[in-house]
Amino acid sequence: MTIALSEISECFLGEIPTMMATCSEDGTPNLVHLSQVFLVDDSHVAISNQFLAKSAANLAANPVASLVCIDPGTYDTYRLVVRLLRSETDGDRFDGARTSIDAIAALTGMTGVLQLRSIDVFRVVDVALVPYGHSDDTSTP
Amino acid sequence: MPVGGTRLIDDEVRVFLQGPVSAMLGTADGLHVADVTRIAGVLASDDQASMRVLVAANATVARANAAQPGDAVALLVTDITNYRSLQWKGTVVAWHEPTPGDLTLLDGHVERFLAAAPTVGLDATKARRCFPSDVVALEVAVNALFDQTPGPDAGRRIEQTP
Repeated sequence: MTIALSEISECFLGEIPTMMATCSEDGTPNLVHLSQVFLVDDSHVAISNQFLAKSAANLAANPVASLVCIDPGTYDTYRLVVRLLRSETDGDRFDGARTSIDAIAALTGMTGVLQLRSIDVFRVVDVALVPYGHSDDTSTP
Repeated sequence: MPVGGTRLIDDEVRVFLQGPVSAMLGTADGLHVADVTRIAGVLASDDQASMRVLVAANATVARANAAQPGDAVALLVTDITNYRSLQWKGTVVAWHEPTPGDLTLLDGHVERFLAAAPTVGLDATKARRCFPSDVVALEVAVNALFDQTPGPDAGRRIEQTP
């Protein structure tokens, strides 16, 4: 990877939603907003699976996906190519996320609706800055 | 100009597309690796079955530029003020060089987004950096529509306009 995940750690604070693109067996892409992507370590990220039925089906057939995230400090856009490694349905990471989601559900009146299905852990294959090149674009990563 | 799509863009949705929306285009390459790039303008056609979308002209930014006529794409459009989201599935019809009308579409799309950005905690000045200044136009025929608004109904298919 040309960009280390630690260099873009602010992308994983959950301030700006991330987009995930998956692809079905027949080549049809699917997009979904992710409220937060979790930084696991230097080469892995994870997502919380709540309403991702189509994405989950696509990933079961084709485990490679793309994430596009935005640094909330600079608004730089990054593209991550990722490969699904496993889906966790217990353990510390799952329990921590479930506690957080349960709290959000309680605050938004969606208890019983917002339910964590799994924590999906991905290996990050590539990270790249997306150079939109707008005329106001003066920052560098 | 009918292009073989399904009537899935009624007048209410046409208005929705001209609101403060974040719009993304999903594509897939020959190995079925999906990608997503920001749309910088979207306009429903009069036939209610196709859309003209603007993406970055820079191929490094928009791998979508590799999509060929007949390739499958997804368009996800979200009103950033209330998170209402609609996702269309469709196919690429053609690519076009931008017209003066496209540049007006680009400016309007970006300005509406930036005007609403502070209401959802985004920095409008910085958020401008999320949009390209040089675009190309992509014509997409749509054939399926899904409600993608976060919640228990996310993913529900919306039937075609009668």
